[in-house]
Amino acid sequence: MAAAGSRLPMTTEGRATITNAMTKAQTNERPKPLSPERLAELRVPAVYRTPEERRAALKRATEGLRVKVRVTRDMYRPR
Amino acid sequence: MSPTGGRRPATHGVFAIEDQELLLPDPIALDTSFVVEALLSTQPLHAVCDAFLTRIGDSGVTVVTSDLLAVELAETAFAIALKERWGGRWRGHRTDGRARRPATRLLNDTISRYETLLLSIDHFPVPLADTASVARDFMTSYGIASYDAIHAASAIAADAEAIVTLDTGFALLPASVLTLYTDRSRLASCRKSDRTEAREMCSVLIRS
Repeated sequence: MAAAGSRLPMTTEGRATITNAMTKAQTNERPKPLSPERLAELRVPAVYRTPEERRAALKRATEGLRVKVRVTRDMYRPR
Repeated sequence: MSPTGGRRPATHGVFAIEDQELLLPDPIALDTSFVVEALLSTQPLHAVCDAFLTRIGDSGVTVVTSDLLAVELAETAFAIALKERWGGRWRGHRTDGRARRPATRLLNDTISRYETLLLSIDHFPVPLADTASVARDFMTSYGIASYDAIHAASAIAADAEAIVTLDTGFALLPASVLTLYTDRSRLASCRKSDRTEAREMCSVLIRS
């Protein structure tokens, strides 16, 4: 552990730990994404691989769910 | 589409998902508002969002979602069941046990459809823990609401250039941070915001 008042060593590894690869240096600048290693951990490949399988799955997901009311933003997210 | 011989209007980093010429960046982030509209066939923009989702599936691009999205979908299903039973007074009946059974059925159906959607597309599910600090920055820098900030931060975390949303609140973010893909009816209200750094992205994202 670093001594009180001292900086952590700014090695590549240390920097990644401290910032988790997401920093925002100044206004209107796009923050940095997560590290490639972290993104590789998060990535989930599709189970359905062929275009036909994908289309059929998407159709199953998006067809036929009918409700009697109109959903508005305030039903899932406070403003 | 600009009139023939006329000048293309400033996009301010906001584009219509109905535009067949619109390019799909890879990855691309999805907001809850878009997914709700795509999953529920009774929603007014269902056809538009379903068609855009099919485009995403066909193109093979990866989608980015926040873990918050599934929670908001569950909340939507619960609210629908309450609203179907109680109409405009649904908020006062959250603890009504009679609404819970249909709410559970609808919730399970909605989440199951969402999972089927994700099985058909490569995907980055971004945990809240990976976005909290950037979401806070977005709230304090741009005044964006907390839930929107989390979805935007998730997009950035996975390096998505654009988020697909029907929520005009995302227009508080500058175009240099995130491009918005929305439906045509929301273009004007999103572009009213001061998204001043959009011009460079326009040339990248729209085929000339």
